[in-house]
Amino acid sequence: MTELSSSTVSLRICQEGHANALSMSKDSSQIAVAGRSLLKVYSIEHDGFIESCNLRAGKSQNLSYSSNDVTWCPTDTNILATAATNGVISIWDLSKFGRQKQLLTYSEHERTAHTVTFHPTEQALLLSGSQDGTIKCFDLKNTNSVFTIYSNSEGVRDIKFSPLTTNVFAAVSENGTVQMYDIRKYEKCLLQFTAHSGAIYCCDWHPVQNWLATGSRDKQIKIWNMENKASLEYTISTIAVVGRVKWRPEKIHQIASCALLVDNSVHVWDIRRPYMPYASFNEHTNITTGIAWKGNNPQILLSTSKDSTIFKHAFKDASKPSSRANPQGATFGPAGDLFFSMKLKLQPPQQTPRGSKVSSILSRQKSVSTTDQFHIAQSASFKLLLKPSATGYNCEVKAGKYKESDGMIGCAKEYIFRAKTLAEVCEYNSLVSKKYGRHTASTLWNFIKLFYGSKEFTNRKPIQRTSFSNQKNNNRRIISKPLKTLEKSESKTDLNGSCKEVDSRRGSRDFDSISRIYYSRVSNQPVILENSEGPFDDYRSLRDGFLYVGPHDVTTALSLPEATLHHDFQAARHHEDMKTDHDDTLTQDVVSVLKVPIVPQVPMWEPHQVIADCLHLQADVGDVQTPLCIFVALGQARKELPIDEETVEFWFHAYIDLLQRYKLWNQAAEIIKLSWFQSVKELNQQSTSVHTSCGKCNRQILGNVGWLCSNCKTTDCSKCVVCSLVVKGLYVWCQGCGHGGHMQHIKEYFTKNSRCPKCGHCCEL
Amino acid sequence: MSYQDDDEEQMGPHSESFPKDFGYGHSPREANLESKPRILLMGLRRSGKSSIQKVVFHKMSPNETLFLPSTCEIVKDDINNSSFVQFQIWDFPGQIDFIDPTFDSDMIFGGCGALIFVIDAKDDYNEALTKFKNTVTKAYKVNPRIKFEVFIHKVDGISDDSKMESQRDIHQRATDDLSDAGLHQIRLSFHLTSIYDHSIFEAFSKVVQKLIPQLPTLENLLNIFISNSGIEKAFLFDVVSKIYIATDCSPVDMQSYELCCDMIDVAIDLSSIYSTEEEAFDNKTSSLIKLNNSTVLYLREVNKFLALVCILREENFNKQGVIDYNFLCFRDAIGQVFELKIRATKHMDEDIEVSLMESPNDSVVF
Repeated sequence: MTELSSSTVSLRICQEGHANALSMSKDSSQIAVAGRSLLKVYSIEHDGFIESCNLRAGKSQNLSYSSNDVTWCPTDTNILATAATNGVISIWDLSKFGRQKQLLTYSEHERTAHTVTFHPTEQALLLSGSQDGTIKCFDLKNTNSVFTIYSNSEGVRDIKFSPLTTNVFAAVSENGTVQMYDIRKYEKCLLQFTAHSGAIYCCDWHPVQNWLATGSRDKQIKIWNMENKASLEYTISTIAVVGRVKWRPEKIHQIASCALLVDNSVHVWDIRRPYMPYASFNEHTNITTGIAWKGNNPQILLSTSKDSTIFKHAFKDASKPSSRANPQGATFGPAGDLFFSMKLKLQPPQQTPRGSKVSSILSRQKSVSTTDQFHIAQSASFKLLLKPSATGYNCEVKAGKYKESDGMIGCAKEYIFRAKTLAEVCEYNSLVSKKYGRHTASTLWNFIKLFYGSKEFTNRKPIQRTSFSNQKNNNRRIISKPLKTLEKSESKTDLNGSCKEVDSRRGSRDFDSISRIYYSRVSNQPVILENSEGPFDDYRSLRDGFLYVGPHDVTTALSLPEATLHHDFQAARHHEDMKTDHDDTLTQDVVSVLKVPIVPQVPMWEPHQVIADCLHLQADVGDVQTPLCIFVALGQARKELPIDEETVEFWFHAYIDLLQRYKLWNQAAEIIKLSWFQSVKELNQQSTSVHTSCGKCNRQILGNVGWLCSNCKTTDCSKCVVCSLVVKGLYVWCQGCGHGGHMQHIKEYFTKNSRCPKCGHCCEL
Repeated sequence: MSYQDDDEEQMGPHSESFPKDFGYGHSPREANLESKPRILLMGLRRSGKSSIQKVVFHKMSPNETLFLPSTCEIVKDDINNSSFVQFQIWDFPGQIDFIDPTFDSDMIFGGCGALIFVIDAKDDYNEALTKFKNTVTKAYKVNPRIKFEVFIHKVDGISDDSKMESQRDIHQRATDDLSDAGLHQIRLSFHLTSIYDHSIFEAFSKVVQKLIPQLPTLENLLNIFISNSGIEKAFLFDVVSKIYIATDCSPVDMQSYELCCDMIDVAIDLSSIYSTEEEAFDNKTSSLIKLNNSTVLYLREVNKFLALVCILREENFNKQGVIDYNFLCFRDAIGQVFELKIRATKHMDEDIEVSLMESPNDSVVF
């Protein structure tokens, strides 16, 4: 197979104009390319293309030659047909010379002809579809059309004969419908259905299955099973309007497509994986306009493009987007649970480390060799629930019992900011927020307790990563920490079962880190974290609610030099110790786990940044209470957090405003007192006065005395309604009628009466 | 995005203007007003008929259509004076009754070119389909040449999947209903529309295009023009309504159509601010917008109500002289096409199509 080894070659076809379509001859040795101002035939050589015929030699500006589509007769290698933009169908005979080459022209279509296709067995018959909504059938022995099908009022974009049922063809049109006709009974269509919500631009029959692929303006390729009634089998979502589709020979599930706009590449899709192309050819620099497989050879794809080139792509040169994709994914659920799924990697063979008890754990059995069938790969998914005791999450919490504002008010009332230690404050506040069903806040308080509750940690400066192994260590530690508090959602037995299943399938302890942790947890074995597949790479992504899980880098992870491995084991053993410590004490005091100083490497991730991000996020989602309270509670430790002063000041104002709106004056005052911003502190001094207005002229009463209106120079408005004297102390009044007087007098009066002494207003109501 | 506004640019030697009587409310035309193609807007009440009409032809903002009162009599809107394409739009009230003796179906369907039936996609459409069947049956009896268009309307409110689903369902049931009534030869066109995006303009463009007998010629002219000028896509717009009355043969992409619509708006808005003339859009208007993806939008006025908007790559715009020259040829050709139309309307029996293909003079420089 010399063709297999051939590589991608290209040829620039002309300077002006580009090709609109490409067609492969019967014996796959030649291609025809047609465009607005070109119609050429090239023979395909091993290392390139050779122009064998130029059918547009002259400089004739005849619109009849400006082709939209070109097709090669499937029975005769010398016959070509083109569809022109003015609706003319031309038949060319390559065996003739000069002007004779143009055998026939049919100018029957009123509008642009989009497609032309030959009958697969009867060489004299061909069909053409046009913008005027007609499909015409021509017989080469005849100078006029044999029959015309008025399919739709919309343009017919593509016509293809079914390879399985002779004489049956499918036509797709701009209004999104697919129609099937039998050319012997063309009066009535066999089947008609709406396939897409936009115009359909192309279709292709599967060479062996009774499948029809349609590509549309709605950016989808749909595969229809055409047995009896059309039923949708697969849908592929592409990024751009689909221009052409072509099934890959010999591969049942693969189809090539190119876009009409935006995307220059040719993609080969496996229809069972509709979201990512199986392979892509990215050589073209402009929109690809025509694609064809070289006969029955699935390894060679030819394409032509608006960049005026033709390419012969070797399939081995295609880029495989799936190989660069990240096969793990993790996400937090709304209740704080973590869902993690990953590919159960078919590991390459790995050198066995010697002289260590860990080696037995590290050793893997050589598994199935990798194949290009991605769908064989197994994947595993874990749903992890945060352990209720360590976080705010509690399944039986009467969540939803409290309204959002109730929770806010309750927390505002019960939060404390000063206690003996920060840990106590955090713990108490976490309980409070948990009580009110505010899990996020509760978790945050717990986090704060973990990070800042212990002095050792807070004093430590985060150290930047120094080497790869360093990072690996850190990742491992990070991974281990949250996992300690995680628990399989359903039950332990369930987890155990699933792990065992994995175990028996592989015949070795071949899990990725997370599953192994669980495994060991359940079976009470010491945890050893020697594999860093799927590390949590970047905690900053927490902000978006996602955990970024870094790409597989198995080769690096497994080809580590002996020293590094050794080093890793030591690090791992540290963990082991820590873990046992932790299990022994079995306390809530998770802080002990975080006594990182005993480990030579210091975490590279920056907890301060993470916390700051968390607080920002919390504020962004509309809860300013939690970040502000945490900030206040942190005291001096707040300086570690990389949050700018303006933001905090803004939080202060927002929270105080919120408290005052809920009439929580005491809490607001406390916050003002605790603040360290001048502008916030001043709130207590300014705007403490209540301004009064004169009842007569409605002007604000200024000046030192509150009872004299400087504008109308009377004291009428400040007279007591009972004793008619000017009130010079406390003045109470009814907000309904505006009358009032000495507190003493009013009190006495209203013990006996219920109406206003002056106007009879029902003040007591 | 850099923007250059070349309004009122001098057009060089080719400055003679068009004959002003391209059928814009010219007095002889008023006489045969009844012979003008008619577009009927029908459908159940509250399905959005009047809104469509207001948004497309009266530049009403889609949000304002909420306050439109319901139509209680047939509103006849003449798109003659304001727009190049000549037709009447008759907006029917939803509750119209065909059995009513005052309903003159011969008069209504007789001179009708297209019937647009609007179906509310968010509503239960059983009733609408029954009414549709009755309407089509009735109309087809009177005038079998009517083009039937179904607008599945208000699709902005439903998801992509259900869009597809309702289109399929409506299509299936409408065709089934009609074949049950023995009318399987009727061709229906379906459009998914919404007044909140350009889909309604596109759908209306397609409806109007079917009523333009010169459409194949216009398309051919555009094809010649773009292939000789290195242009990717060209639309011939009706400036007032922003529906395109013709485009070249390459597939219409929604985004480029929207861009072109917006460009017309920009050009008109800017020229009404800075222009010294009274008319915002006249025969010297042209505008050029360079997009940052090395694409150029080029607008040229064809005549008072028509504009040509082209999308082309920046490198092809180097030969602006060629494009301009080709454009003038194109404009002449269009002028000849419509002169023929005027002549044809004067002498009704003259065959338009025969003489058309000779008239475009596609001389091209390279």
